[in-house]
Amino acid sequence: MSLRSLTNLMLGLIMIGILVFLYTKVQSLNVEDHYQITDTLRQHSSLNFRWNEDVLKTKLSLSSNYDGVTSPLVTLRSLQTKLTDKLSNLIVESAPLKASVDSYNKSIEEKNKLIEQFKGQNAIFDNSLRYISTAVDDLITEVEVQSANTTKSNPAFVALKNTAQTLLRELLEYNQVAQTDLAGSINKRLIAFENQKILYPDIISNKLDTVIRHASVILKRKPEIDALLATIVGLPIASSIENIENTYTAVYDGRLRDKDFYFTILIAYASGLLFLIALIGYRLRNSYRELNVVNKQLTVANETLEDRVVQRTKELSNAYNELKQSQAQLIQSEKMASLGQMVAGVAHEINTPLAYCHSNIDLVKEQLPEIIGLFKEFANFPSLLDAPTAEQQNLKEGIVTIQDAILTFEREGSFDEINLLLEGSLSGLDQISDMVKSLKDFSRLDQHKVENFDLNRGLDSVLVIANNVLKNKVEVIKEYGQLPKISYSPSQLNQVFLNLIVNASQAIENSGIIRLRTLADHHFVNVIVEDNGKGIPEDILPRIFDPFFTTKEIGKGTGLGLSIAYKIVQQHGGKITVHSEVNKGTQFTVSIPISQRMDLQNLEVAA
Amino acid sequence: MNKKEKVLCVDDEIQILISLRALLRSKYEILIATSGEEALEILRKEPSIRVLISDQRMPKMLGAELLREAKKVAPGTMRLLLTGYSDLQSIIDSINEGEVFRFINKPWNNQEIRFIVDLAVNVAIETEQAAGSMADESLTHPTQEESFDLVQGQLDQQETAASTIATSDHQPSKEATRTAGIMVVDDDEGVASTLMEILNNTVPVYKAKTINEAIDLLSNQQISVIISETLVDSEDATEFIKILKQNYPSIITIILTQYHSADTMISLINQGQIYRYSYKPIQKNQLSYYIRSALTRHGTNLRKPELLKRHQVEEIKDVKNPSLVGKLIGGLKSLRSKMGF
Repeated sequence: MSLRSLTNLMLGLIMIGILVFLYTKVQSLNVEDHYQITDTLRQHSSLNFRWNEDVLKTKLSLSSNYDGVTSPLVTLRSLQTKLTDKLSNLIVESAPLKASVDSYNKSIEEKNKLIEQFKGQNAIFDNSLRYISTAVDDLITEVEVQSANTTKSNPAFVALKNTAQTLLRELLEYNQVAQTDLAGSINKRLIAFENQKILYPDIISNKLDTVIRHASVILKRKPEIDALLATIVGLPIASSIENIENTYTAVYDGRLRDKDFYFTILIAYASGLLFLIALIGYRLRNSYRELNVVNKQLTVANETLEDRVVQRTKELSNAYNELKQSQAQLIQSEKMASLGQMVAGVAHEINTPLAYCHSNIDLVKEQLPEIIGLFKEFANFPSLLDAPTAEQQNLKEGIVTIQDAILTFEREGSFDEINLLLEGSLSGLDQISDMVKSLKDFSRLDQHKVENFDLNRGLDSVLVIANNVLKNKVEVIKEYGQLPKISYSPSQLNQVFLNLIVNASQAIENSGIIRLRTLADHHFVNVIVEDNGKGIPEDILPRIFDPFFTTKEIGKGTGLGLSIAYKIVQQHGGKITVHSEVNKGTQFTVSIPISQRMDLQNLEVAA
Repeated sequence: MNKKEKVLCVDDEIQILISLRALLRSKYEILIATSGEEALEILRKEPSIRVLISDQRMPKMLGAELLREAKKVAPGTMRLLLTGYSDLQSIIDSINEGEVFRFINKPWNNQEIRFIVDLAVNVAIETEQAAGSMADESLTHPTQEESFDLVQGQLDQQETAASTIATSDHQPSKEATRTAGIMVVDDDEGVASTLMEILNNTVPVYKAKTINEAIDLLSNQQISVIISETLVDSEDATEFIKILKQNYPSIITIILTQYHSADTMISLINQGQIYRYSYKPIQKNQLSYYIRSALTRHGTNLRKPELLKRHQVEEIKDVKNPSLVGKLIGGLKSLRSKMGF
């Protein structure tokens, strides 16, 4: 996977991650929980209200029992559990909510404790309250029984009966509303009963005692119970609930705000993503459009391909023909270049002997009139011999003159010099004729293919041609072996050897050695051209036989020399190999098969 | 019998030496050497050698190198070079470093070679005294900055020389005391601007874009050195250079060209005695050095007018443009009278 697609994948994952995060943030607020919590809180509130009502009812003795006081506790417990459960997450986050819930729980516990207390107290009080009417009735009945037993009407008994009834009425009233003055009146009556007890027969006194005892309980307990109930009602449960509600609402509002905030971000982010998707979509559409266009073009191209292939093939074959032609031209120009090199070399080689031959002959020619003069003088002698004596003197003078002239010639070494000059000229002419012979050997323009040719002789002619390049610079060491005569095209193979030898001398910078070795094995005649020049760098060695490859400046070489050499050797059924070491030298080996079958047709092309 | 003057012939081909000796020995004492090293050895031992004839192509030391060394060892010896098939660079080297008197083409004409050697021997004898003063021209290239100072120094020298002439000469001229200028004959502006950069206003530079302009300038201004292209405004300038040298040998000529031909160079030496030959693109350091050395040579020539004989030229053969010759000679006559020659 490429780095780019990896980055794209990462980017996509990050974008989806952000989306998921924002969504979670928005979804984190559970509305159902919220409703349950508010509902629970409301239930709490109403339960508490009803409960207080029941407590008050109990207080006013409107209810027959105190179930109303205790029974809501069960419901309350379950509500409390539910609330605590629902709020548990929020409590962790919000300290004020925790405080309010804690204080609420504390209040509930408190209320519970107080209700237990109330239950205990109310049992005794209720018992006395229920029994007081019976006790008063028993007393009155007993008083009436006692009155019937006595004939005489006892006013004390009547008073007791009335007072007891009043007390009962007052007690019931007190139970309804615990007024202090009523309590004082009841207390006075009870004290009065206590004091009057001894005045009555025992049976009445006992009954009275019972009334007093229960009445005292009612009187004493009633305010206590009332206070307890007031305390219960007064417990700050409602406010606690309200507090919870408030703090919860604050927390919820906070969350709601957060949610709104994240929601906004989510919207923005989602819009961004949508835009991006839209952009990608747009680009995709464009790409599709382009693809469609290209597709159409391709279809068209496909349809016209056949025609174009035909056309191209035609063009290519034309180009190939042109290339072939220009290659032939290049080969021709390379041949001309090597020919030029050869001509220049030969011209210079011939120039020097020509110069001294010319000068020498000119010098001899200059002296010739003088020598001819001498001969003419001699020619006169026979006539002088026959002349009169007077003229004998002339003969003598003539002989002396000739003698002097000859002596002068001899003294000045002129005769020797003439000899030397003519000998020099002859050797110069020999040199020139050698050169011409080498030239002939080299090119063998008169013969296309030579049977039984000595390759060593061919190499010698190449050396003469190349002498201009080699002289003053390169020492040529010849190590010729016995070679069987082979048949080859001298003008072509000699061109190969000239190329190799000139290259070798160019590889030598100041002075060096070229070693020419020839040796034969069973199948091949090998010519090894070895120099101690600068060598061929390894990186260009594989390219040296490529056409147009040259290290020379533009215009200085065609880059065809070695490639043509390669081709020529190949056409002779031979091979050419190279070994080179930088700064040590280069060694070219040309191997020509002894019995070969030349591809004459190809040879024509190369030639 | 008078003692024969000495001529040294150098060639690795013994037959050439035999021929040359046969050719010249009746008039001169011929010494021979088959290598440059041997020739230098002889020159050191025999300072009275008048003429050195050397082949160009020899093993180890080329003719151009021998000429350069010979100029140091024996400045009075006239130097001739035998050339057959030579590359351009060796010809340029023998002009610039060897200060060759004549190139002799192989195969040569015996009469011509005798004539040249006679001339060279005579010049060498006549200038024997003065030639010593040319030896002090250093051949080492100075640095750029040095060369400016040197140019200035040579100018002072030149003026001193000019004033010496003014007092001693039979026809004193007011013009002679004025600083002579350098004329650039080239339709390429680059040469003149490079030259002005090099000279930095120490020497007047005159520009001639055609040969006619050059002739006009020559009649109106004092010119010590000419830097010329060989082809100016599609006109062959070599003839102008040759005629100028023939008629007014004291002007030093430097060729700065983009056209190279061995034949042109050889004829410019033989018939034009050009001082230096350089090719474009301009090498500023080299040009600066050539200018400096040309001004020195001009100064030396003013002090020792006999040295001008060392730059005698051949008759110009095959004049292609006779009207130019007439015009030139006309223009140069006024110049001559001005210069007091």
